[in-house]
Amino acid sequence: MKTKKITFPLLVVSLLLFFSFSHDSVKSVQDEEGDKLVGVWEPGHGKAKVKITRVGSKYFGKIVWLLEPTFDDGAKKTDRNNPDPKMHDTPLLGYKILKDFEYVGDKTWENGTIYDPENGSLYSCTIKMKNDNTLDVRGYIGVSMIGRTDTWTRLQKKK
Amino acid sequence: MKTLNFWLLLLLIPIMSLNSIAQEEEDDDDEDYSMYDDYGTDEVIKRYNTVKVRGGSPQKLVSLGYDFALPHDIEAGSIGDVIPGETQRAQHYHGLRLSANLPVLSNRKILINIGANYAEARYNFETIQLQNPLHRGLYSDIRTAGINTTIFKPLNETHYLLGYYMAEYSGDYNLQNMQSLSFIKHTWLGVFGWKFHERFQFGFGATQSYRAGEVNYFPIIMYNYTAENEKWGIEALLPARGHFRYRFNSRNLLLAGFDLEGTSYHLSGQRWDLGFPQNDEPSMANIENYDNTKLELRRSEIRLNLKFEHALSDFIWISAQAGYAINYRNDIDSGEFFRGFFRDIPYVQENNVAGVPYVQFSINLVSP
Repeated sequence: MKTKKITFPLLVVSLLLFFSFSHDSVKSVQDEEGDKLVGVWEPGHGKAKVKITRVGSKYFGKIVWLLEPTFDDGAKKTDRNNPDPKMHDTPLLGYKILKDFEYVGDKTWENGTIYDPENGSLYSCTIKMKNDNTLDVRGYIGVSMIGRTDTWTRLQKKK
Repeated sequence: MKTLNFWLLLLLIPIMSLNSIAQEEEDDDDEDYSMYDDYGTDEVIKRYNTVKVRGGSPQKLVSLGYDFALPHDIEAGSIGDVIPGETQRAQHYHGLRLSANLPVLSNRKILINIGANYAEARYNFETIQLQNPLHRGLYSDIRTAGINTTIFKPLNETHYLLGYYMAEYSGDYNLQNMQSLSFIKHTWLGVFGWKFHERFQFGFGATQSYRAGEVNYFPIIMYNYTAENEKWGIEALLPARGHFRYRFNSRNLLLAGFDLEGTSYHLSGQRWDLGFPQNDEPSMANIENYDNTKLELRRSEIRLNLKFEHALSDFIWISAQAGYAINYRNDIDSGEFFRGFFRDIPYVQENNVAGVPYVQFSINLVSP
């Protein structure tokens, strides 16, 4: 009798463990694929480096390096083209320009946005990994057809 | 028993959450960014310049506009000895202006846009008792519809090629009375240029264009510049247009300059019985190759203007323009031909149109 009482909770726990691990293993494969986006990348113009990280289930990218980190007057570059004047003093270094990307499989991240500090505009964006070191980053207006694809290259720590 | 369950759950909770915690990376806002100086790649990356100049006015992808010109005199010349000259006052001309210019291929190596445009000029005169074929032709309204393609090909970080082609269908036609496709006009343009830096683009080239009313060949200069403070700039594709730009901020621009606008409109002289002399009219014998089925209104105006452009949202901009249109050409020829740089071939009819103030409004989907 005592044995039966112990067996039931053990069964429940075993099932929970099983589903947890199987769900986590599927999720983990998905995450592993998705996490290939994580790293430091250089946009096609070569004037910035963007670090992509995962927070929760979404991916974000922030500027971590600028070829020209200051304006002509010597002041550090800020988001002065943002339509919201409150953002004008926000430094571009550390600025999240990629937001809310979700891995949807097939080496593709969707439902995110990309911000262009040059004109203060926010574009819809899709990222496709061509190979482990190359991304096609497509910013677009409304529909994917009206957009531009840039090629980003993965960077590694050299020293 | 309770103790056992408690310990099992205690064991279970961290195991279940371990995996997800392990793969999440919290964002560190206090990062030392100097470490990224050392990040690089062994790959040789070929870089290309882009078509946009920093601080420039946004490219209009889709535009819906309306154009309105105030009252002005239109002096029609005589045609041979058959039709006397006459001046009529136009109450106004007005019309829609629609255009679309969308990228079909846009990446760092090439940009290909396709586009379409439509513009009309609907004339109203103070009287409808119009005798001269020019006035009667304008009263029938003139319109132009075209399709075009633009190719921008950066060769490297500095040099680029730009090509443009447009086919235009212009005349006094309407949906009930279309004209032959043989009256389609072809415009092309080629530019070789340099983008010296993000704020300065310069190019030169050549064009076959109808902007001066009749087919002509021009050298062209492309000059797009933004000053260091990004407040002032110049946007020019000479001789077609040139503007000084003042940028209040990224959402408000003021442009002051000119546009040369024009094309050659087919006038359906016989079909509309506009009163053009017959081909065998003796008085027309000294007009070279006169054919009243191939009449063309060579219409061109220089529009001095002030444009204010304002962003309603990231990609929706409105534009308000006021200016003064100076008549450059409003003459009638017979047939399609290149007059030549120095040939003095007379027009079938030479006319004068007074300068006229105008306004134009548009709402646009733009690429900033």
